[in-house]
Amino acid sequence: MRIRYAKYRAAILCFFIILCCSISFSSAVRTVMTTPENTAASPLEYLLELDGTISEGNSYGEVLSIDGKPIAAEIESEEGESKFCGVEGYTHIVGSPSGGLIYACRNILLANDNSANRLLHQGNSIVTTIYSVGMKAATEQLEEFDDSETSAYICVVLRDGAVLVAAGNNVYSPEAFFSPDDYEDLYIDYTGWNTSKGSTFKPLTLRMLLLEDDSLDEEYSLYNRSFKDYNTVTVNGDTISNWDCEISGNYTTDEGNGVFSRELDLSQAIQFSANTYVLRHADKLGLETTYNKMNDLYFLDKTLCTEINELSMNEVSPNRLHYLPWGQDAYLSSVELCALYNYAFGGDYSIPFYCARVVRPNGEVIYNASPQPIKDKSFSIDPREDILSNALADAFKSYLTEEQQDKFSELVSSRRILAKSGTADLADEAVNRVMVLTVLNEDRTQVVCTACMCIDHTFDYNISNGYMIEKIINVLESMQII
Amino acid sequence: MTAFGVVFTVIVMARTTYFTGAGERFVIHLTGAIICGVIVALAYKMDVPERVKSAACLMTTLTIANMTAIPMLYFTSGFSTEEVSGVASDTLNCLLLTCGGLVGGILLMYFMSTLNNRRLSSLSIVLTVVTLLLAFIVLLFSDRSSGTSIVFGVQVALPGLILMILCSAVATHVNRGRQFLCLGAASVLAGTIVFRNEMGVPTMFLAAMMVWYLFFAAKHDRILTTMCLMLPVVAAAGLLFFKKFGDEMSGVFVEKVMSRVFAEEVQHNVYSQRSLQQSGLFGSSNYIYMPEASSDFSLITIAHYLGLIYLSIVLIIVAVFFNTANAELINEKKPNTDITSTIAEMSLCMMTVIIIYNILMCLAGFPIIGVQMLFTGTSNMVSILSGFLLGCVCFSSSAVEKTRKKINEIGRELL
Repeated sequence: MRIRYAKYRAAILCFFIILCCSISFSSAVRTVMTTPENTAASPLEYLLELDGTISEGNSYGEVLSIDGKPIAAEIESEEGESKFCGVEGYTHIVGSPSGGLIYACRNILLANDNSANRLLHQGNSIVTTIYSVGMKAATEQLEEFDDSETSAYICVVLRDGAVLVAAGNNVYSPEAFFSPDDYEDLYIDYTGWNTSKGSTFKPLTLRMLLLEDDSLDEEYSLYNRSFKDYNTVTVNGDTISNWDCEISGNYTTDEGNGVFSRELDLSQAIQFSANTYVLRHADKLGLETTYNKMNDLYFLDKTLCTEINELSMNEVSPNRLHYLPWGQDAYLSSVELCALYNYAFGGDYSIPFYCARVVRPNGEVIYNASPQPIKDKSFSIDPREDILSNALADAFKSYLTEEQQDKFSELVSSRRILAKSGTADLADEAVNRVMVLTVLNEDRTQVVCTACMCIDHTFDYNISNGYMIEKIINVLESMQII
Repeated sequence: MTAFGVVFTVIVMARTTYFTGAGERFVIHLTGAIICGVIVALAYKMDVPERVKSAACLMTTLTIANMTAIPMLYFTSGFSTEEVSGVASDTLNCLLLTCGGLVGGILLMYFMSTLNNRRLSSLSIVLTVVTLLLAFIVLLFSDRSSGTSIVFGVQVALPGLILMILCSAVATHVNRGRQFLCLGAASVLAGTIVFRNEMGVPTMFLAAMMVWYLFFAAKHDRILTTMCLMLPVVAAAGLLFFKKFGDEMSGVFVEKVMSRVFAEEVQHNVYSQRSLQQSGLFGSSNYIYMPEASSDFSLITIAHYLGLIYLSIVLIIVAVFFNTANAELINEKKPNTDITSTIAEMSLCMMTVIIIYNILMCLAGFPIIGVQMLFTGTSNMVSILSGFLLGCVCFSSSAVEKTRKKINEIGRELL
């Protein structure tokens, strides 16, 4: 019996074994032929063909400023626990494995390539766009804002989108990385935070209106040098006033019922920061149309993904569209605001970025940022002839005291600096103070960069425009931009 | 096959030496290659059954690949230094232990072949006592937190598996009372290991005995045969049941099954897929996060570094080996009634079950129950077990007798 069926048994067993091997092999082939999913990868990881997996065993690669200074290091707690974190002054940008650039780019910083990294257990290094000289200068300028309720910050964004400076008055303590609950603002990059930027939003609305100037009649054309501006207007049932609505000396005509008027050109409207001027022009075009065209032009309703954060303006409620054109409901980050200024006065829109290069442990550069403006968004502009650019250059001079005008006489006379201030009222009577400076090149044909300083939630109403301008200029001078 | 072996060995040695950048690695590989070469040469030169030749190929292919791939983990993967430093240095050690297990298996078989029925009966008592003693040790001293039956740093489930095979084999050649003792002791040990949260070894033992009974046993009982055929169906149904209702159930056993087999945090199947996707036809040495590389999923590690072509060669050799071994062991001219044949058959069944299940687990996503590919990984005990089972399967009394005579002759000449 046993011998009789032995051959059949052996055949059945072998068939079973070969079947199992075949199933496994076909499964393996199917797996190999399947393209790995890249759903978890960030855009930069995708570009570098990393699939979002984390290499826990490697040590982090270096994080460097654009001028080669290490801005992250391994730190040790009193209990001996160690973490790879941003060094002082960079914690809010660089962060740690729980936040900031290290968190967002951990796959890049931990990934290795065996051919480049045979004997080291180190990930790739990232050269950021952050310029340590500018960061140091900006941090020094912010030192006096040590009030924990006031957030003060400065950012500088180049024309191509490179974020050179993103400094804040954040608290720093190495221990904060080990007990983050005690230092809540450690990781907060204020420059990427949405806050109301007030009147600094007006030039963006005005640029859009200028591009749409043909749609407006002669009276409402921004080239109209004698536009009748009222101190207060009512739109959608809400009364909107100029900040100087009660200073009758600023107005030439009493229209009765507490309404005053004056004749303004664009430059004067910018210097007076006239809310009603911008609002009435927008209303003439149509508030919804204005909102839609602003979105089309500036991607305000889209999210801009950088390597370390996502930038998007807060959504505007349909029944508050009349608060947007003059900036009251314009909640956006200062980095995005700078990028939009570069666009509004340079004509090319480039998305902000923080990673300039990714370098393998053996020095091979595997990624080199080559920012390209979004072509179909570009428009032609000559800042020398541009009415809005000139208006902001006039505003720069008007913001300075006589003493400052003497001090910065070269900048004033060259008309290279375009400035706009902003003040946003907050619910608890505090204000956000904002100053934006756009720097043109020496022959005023191109934008170089835009810098922004914000002092959020301050009760100090005496912060002057000149004071903020001086601080920004100090930062720009430290980097030899001006 | 020999030409392939030479080319393959040279390629993998060069590859590992390059990526590790360490010259001593080349020496270690050369040593391993020489050992494997000697085994293959002996298998082909001596007058041994065909299954021994294919077994030598299987062992060489897997151990050389293991020696190549596992050290590369240290240099190319994301595993921490602490995690892989031991792994990288142990592969030559594992080859030596495999050879030790091989010789041990052959010697044990030779010893068993000299036993008469009376001595076999006495041996059954000894095996029963030793097996129960081991069960007692596992019960008292195993590390409960480890999730496996580790006693004083040694994974005792694997020597326990050898004891269980021997108990089962001896049970088929002794009277009913001793048979009861031997099988009872093996069952107690298997049960104790399960009680200590190790599921892989007892499951494989049960499956191997089932395969042996169905394909090799001299006599068949209708009820037992039906039970053997039903067992895989019941197991599959049980797994499906746990998969569907396990989340709503409680209990230590349920938690163990759910956490080891189905839990989402057991990402080994996902990692296996990623690893294979990156390997391609010829292997990859890029950054990768691999599954449990040093034990259960060592085949994936090897496949990742050596590619789909290597994997297909392994599968072919596995199929050839089992085909040859099955044909030779089952298709004897006369019924296998001696104890050595029974041990060889059971060892072959054990190898079949372990290797096939591991392949299915790694490549086809079968549930993870802790079954390691033989001849791979860095576990000393698995290396000894691999060598031992192979020694038992390949044992040929005539070859051993010839070798013994040859050694005697050489000894006499030297003296």
